[in-house]
This record gives sequence, C-alpha cells and structure tokens, in this order.
Amino acid sequence: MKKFIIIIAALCCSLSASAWSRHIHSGIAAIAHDNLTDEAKKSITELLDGKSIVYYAQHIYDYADNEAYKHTKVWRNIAFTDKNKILKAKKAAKHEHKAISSALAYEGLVSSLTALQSGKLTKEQTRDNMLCVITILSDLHCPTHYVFTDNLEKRKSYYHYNDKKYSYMGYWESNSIRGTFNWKTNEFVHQLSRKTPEQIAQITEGSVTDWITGNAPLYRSVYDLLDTGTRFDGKSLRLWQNKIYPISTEQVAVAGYRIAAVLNSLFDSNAPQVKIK
Amino acid sequence: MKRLIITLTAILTIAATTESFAWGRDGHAAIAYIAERHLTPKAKENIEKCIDGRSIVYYASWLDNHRAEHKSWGRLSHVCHYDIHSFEAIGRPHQYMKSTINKLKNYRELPDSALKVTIYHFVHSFGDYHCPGHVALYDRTGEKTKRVHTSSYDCYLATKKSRWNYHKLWDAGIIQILHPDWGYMDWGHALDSSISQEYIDRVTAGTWEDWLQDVAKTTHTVYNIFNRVPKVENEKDAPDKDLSVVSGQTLNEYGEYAAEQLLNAGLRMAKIINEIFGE
Repeated sequence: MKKFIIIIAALCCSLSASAWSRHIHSGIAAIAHDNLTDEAKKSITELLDGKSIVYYAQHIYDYADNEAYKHTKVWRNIAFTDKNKILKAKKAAKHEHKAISSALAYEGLVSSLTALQSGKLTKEQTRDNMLCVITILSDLHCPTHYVFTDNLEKRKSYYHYNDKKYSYMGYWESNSIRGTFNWKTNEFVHQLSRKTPEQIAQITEGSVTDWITGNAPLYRSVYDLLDTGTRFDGKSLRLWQNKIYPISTEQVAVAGYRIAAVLNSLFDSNAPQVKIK
Repeated sequence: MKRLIITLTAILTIAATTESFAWGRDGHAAIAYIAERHLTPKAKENIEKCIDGRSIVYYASWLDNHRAEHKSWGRLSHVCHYDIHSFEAIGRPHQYMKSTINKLKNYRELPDSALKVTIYHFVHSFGDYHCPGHVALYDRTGEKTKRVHTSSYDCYLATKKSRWNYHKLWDAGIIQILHPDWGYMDWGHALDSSISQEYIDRVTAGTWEDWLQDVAKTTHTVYNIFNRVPKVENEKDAPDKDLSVVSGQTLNEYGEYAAEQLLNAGLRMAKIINEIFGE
C-alpha cells in the first residue's frame, strides 16, 4: 500500500488530463442537483454552506494545485484491458506509459465513496470527498477519460478543419456538445433532465463499478468514429458531428442521474442504496 | 495555463465550426423556447410524445444540422418570396410551409418517423420565415419577374468596423452582437416575462399567411434603408465608402426589431402547436 501511495505521489507533479469543459461539468452537476431528493439536497446544502453542487462542479480541477488536492491529479482517467476490464491500480500505476500509470480515477472514486459510506468523516472531509465523487463520476462519463491499454494510439487521433489541426480528445471535451448546442447550465437541465422514472431506474441500476464497466464498450467504439488525419470541410464536419452529439448529450444526462443516485444514497436514508461494487 | 489554452482552443473551434443560418442556433432555440412557454399542458404533452419526450427546443436547429443528410432538405429554400406591390406570397417556400402545417394537422395519420421530421421542419422553418434576411421581394409588373430586394448585399457595420453581409447580419449576427452571452432561457426571460395578453392576442390574430406577410412588409421598409452594394468575396474588391453604414444606434434599432420577431415567432408557433396538438 505504501509503495502504491508513493507511486501515485510521484506521478502527481507531471500530469495533465483532458476533461469535460467547465460548462459541461456545470451542466452535469445541475442535472444531478435537479434529481436530488429533498433530504439529500438539504444535507448537501448544509455541507456547502448554502451553495449548490453546481458551484463546485469541477472543484478538484480548480484546486488541483492546492496541497490538499495534489493526490487527486491522477483521479482523472481510468485504464481498461483489451477485454474491457478495469486495470488493477497497482498494475496501472507501474505501467511505463504515462497515460496508463496516471489513470487512477477508479481508485480515487472508490476511496472517496468508501470514506463517505463509513460515516466517520468530519464535515470538511465529507465535503471534500463528495466533491471528488461529483467530478470523477462526471469525468467517467466522458469517453476520452477511458484509456484502453490496447489502443493507446487512438488517443492521439486528430482531424483538420479549415487547414487547422484539432485533437479528437479536445473535441470531446467541449465541442462534442458545443458543436451543436450552445446550452448554458440551466439549459442542460431543461433539455436533458426529462427522463421517466423507468428510464432513470434503468440508468442507475447496478453498482458504480457496473456503470463504469458498462460504459467501456460504447466508449471504445467512440474512438472508431474518427479516422485520424481526416480533413473536414463544413459539410463533412457537420455530418460527422451528427453522429457524435446524440452520444455526448446522452452521456451527460446519464452522468447527472447517476451522480444524483449516489448522493441520494449517501445523504438520504430513504433513497435506494447504491453499492460501490 | 493548460486549461486556459484548452478553453481558448475550444472557443476558436466553435467560432470556426458554427454555421450561419437564419437566426443562428440561439435565435431558433429562443423562438422554440418562447413557444414552449406558451403551450397548453395538453399540447406540450402531445407534441413531446411525438419526439421521444424531448423539448421542441432540442430540435430547433435540427434541420440546419441535418440538411446535408437528405438531398431534398438541402434544396429547400428558406427564403420567403413576395410580390413587392401586393405582398402576395409566391413560390415554393410558401407552399412548403403550407404543406408542413397541413401534414401536422393530420399528424395522427403520419408514421412516427415522418411525424418527427415534420415537427423538426416546422419548429425550424417557421422561425426562419420571421427573419428579415429570409424575405425576398419581387417586381412582377414587367415582362420578366425581377428580384427587387435580396439580402445578398453588404453593409458596413460601425460597431465591428467591418464589412458585413446583410443576410448574415440578420442570421444570428444582430442577436449575437448585442447579447453574446445570452442562452435561449435568457432570451425567454428577457422578452417573455411580462408580456401582456393583449399583445399576444394582437400578434397571433389572423392566419399564419397574414403573419408572414406582415414580416415581408416590415422587411421591405428595412431593405429600403440600404444602398444596394453587391456582395463581394473580398473586401478589397469594393471600397467601403460605397456601403450603407449601420451605426451603433441603427444596430440597436435592428436589434429591437429582431427581438420582436423572435418573440412574435415564438408566440405564433405556440398558437399553431396548441391548435393542432392541444385537442
């Protein structure tokens, strides 16, 4: 365990990660907020001194350079084997490829959730761990946060538009939605927080680990949507984007509902319990 | 720093990839949102059932986004044609709107997929037809029909210190220049929070043909303000001194008119949807 912590600590200084952009993190948090039970909302509001979780939607990014959050810098991505299984943390952390060795989001999520479920945290610890869960679960519904160990080259995919080169990973962070919709935070709620109770039950069925492993096959296929080096003109770019935005908007909605399910489970004893594994 | 660069790159990419169509995404979304605010509960429930539970706002720009996927949609003209003397509607666009509304009136007989597409067409094109850049006026008194007013010419936009295509100015330009940070909910709030029933009754009186004719008449007045300087590909091809100058004050006035059209289009769209889906 000690070794594992040392490896993580060593990685903290040199990492960067792609993520949903701020407006998408806010949108996801707003959908989650919209689906909190009254009891959970009350407890969370007390924890956040009256603010909403939307205010802290990407808290661990904003405070990444703060000493208390440095360990969270490797809690961005998750590594998968060629069989779509989560790569064990110890194995991942020792990997020579930085994209894999730094992909420890699952461990961060499990660690924060376990701490929260223990019920032995101070108010400040509860708040910090909750904010970690919100950001990590949000990120883990973005395909570019899934590192497929057998397919690392695809992470370097790019395309050209108007003689400029753009990264496919970068595209997913923002333009996978902004390329089609200019939604503001509340507009994400208006557009995407409208599932039926049956649909929500289906989305939130199973454990947190089930959700993440369940996302893997779809997210793997997302990497196949671009032949790297493609040169787009206006029309072909539009046609390509039409294949992507239904996926990205749905993942944003799913992330919001699942974060709400976890928070309800943690802060409302009457809500259905969500297991970690 | 990295995040700043990522953000800036994203903004530049958006700027590069946002296409210019009537009202732009924000305007179309604002119209559909205002319409949604005025739907009866029954009409809202019925129309959303037809589009998989989504809001009509989601599909406000669907036609622009997907027109390249079907040849027939790409060929659709979204410019309304009118006779400059009688303001009688002429040509296919008017027929297209008539056909779209007629299809909706018989929506229970349409297959699900056809109904969805018809709704997408309606929520988009009805907004288009309220955009001054989407009105063309013809003189039919001579031997040949002559297009008198077209939006294919340029003006000089003082606020931006640059030459702008008139059509593009109305297509998203004005509302984005005046309120670049507003989302469609902001537009809904700004235009539709304290609207009177008297205003709604006045704007929605008559038929959809009357409404679009009214847009054409106003557009005629707006067009007359401009010297008609042809559109050019390169600014150097024509000196700016020939251009009509749109001052900041004029832009504000156009902005008022654009906002009024967004509101009116939304209210009228709601009336049609309520009549058809509210039963």
